Amino acid sequence: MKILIVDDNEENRYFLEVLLKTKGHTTRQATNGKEALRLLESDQPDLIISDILMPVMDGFQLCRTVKTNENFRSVPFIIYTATYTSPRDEDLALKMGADRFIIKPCEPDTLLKSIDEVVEEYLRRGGAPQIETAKEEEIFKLYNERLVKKLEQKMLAAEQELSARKAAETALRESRERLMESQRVAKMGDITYDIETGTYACSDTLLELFEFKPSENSDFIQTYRRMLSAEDQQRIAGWIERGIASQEENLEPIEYRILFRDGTFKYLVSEGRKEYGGGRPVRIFAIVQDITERKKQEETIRMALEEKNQLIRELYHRTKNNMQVIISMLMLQAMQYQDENIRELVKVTVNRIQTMSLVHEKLYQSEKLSTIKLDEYISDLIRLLKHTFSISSDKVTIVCDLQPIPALIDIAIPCGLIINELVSNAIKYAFPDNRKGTIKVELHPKDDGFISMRVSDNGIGMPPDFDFHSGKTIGLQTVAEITELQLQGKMYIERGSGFSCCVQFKNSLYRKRI
Amino acid sequence: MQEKIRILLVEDEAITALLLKRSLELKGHEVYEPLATGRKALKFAETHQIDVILLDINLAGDMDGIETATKITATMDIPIIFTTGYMDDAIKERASVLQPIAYVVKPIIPDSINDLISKQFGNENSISAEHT
Repeated sequence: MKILIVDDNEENRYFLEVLLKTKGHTTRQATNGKEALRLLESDQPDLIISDILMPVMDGFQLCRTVKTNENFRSVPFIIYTATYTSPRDEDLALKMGADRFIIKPCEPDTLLKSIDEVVEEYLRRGGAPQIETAKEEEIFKLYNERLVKKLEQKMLAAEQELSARKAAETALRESRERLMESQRVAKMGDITYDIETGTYACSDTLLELFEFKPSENSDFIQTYRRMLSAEDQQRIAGWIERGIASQEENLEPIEYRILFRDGTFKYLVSEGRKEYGGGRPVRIFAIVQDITERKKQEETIRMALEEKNQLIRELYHRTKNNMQVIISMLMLQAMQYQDENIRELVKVTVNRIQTMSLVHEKLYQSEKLSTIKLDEYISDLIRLLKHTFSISSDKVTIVCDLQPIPALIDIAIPCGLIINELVSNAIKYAFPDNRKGTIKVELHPKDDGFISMRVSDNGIGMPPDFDFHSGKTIGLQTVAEITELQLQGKMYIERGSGFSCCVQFKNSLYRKRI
Repeated sequence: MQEKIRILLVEDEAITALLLKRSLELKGHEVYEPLATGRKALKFAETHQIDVILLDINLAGDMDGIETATKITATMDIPIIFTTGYMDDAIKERASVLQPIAYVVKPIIPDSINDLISKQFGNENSISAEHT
């Protein structure tokens, strides 16, 4: 069978063509009623399947024309519609002579079945049914009614679309206002730089940040540049240049200052992101934020911190000074006596004060103000002891093996006192009668977080029955007490050739003090 | 007997100044009354014979030890021993042009000062002084 398909929608035509061809039919296609009539005249089909809503001439008119034309009225006519679907539409179509009124979409089998039925009816009858052709006026009235109805529906849809669009516009405007308001609250603005044209577009909020009126937008960039220092101008130009050249999508934050005519200034920070077109960066979108308040707060905090640091330094300084005064007083007082015991007492005491004073000196000079480098401190202390005891290096050598360890004052002072006692003892007792030898001072961190500090010598050593708890050796007892009470550590005496004392303790850098 | 070494102490901490004066006197040196400011030291130096100045870097008043030493050594050839609470590169840089005998970091032990003076003026001086 030759079937004429009339539909303005290409997909619909294609669907019907494929469907009908599989059943062995040949098809011709028209996109509207007028085109269909032309095809009818050149080659009459065995069946017409037509849509209703089409430009130029719709399906109703086509049906009416075919069914009132003596040459064509014997061609079966099936309406296949998606838009006109009401019973009144069907009624009109049938009155115009359509054989079937099928609503899209429908099962292919239903459509094919209808085709077969209609063709069979025509064969049985020997042509088109003798329908009571409705009066022209009535048809015209009905047709107009259908058109008006359709128009109303279309208008309604258009109105709905319009109000939806209005709602969307309102939502968009509100969203934009919220965005601007958010920027105002955050003291922010945005600016877009077009890399190719070198032009800028900035938000109202940015102008507000610079205390510009929206009408001054055109002069903005010139004035903006004048508000920057020459140095900041260069920095920002470099920032943009580097940003464009960089592989990174984001431009790192840059801080700068703008100066107003009245001498006040604002600190700003800009952050940007590149926008790409054709694989190349075409624009830079940047936000600018007023960080003056934050800067002022930072400055306040910085000043407070600086003041605190100065006070702490002053405290270390005063403590050290007082220790000097105590040493001077002791020595001054001791000058009145010739007694060797008193002189020795003063010397030992002065040594101990010096040991503590050195910690304060180190703390005063330390960057962090709370910790010192234990290894450097011990090294200085050894130098001091060498000097105090006038050790000649051809007799006794002191060797240091010290690993870098930071320590708080409450670790450093006990450590210093321990080293002072142990090294002084070794100097005084390990090498009698001009014996030569070596004193070794070691400081090592251990894997378990403990610190190991050892003073050893290759001198005469201790007698086997020596008991350092006996009370005769104030020095060693002091070491034991300091280790236990101040360092919460353990002391080990090692007897071999010479004498060795090792102290192990945890480096509790940030222990609570109360 | 050799001539005594004349020492000027510029130190604003009284007890330490007193200790140094007594100790150095015991070693046989002549020690003037300690002065506390750079200005006083400058004025004093113009009118007295001084062999060595023991000069605190951190002095009270508007002139510190390095400034004082700079002004004194501009017109007079007097060796300086600086004393200081703290030694750092900045101090060394400022003071090095003055070529001091030594920098002594506090707390000062008088014997170490005496050792420096002995070395500077020859051992015999110090030994003979000790016997006086």
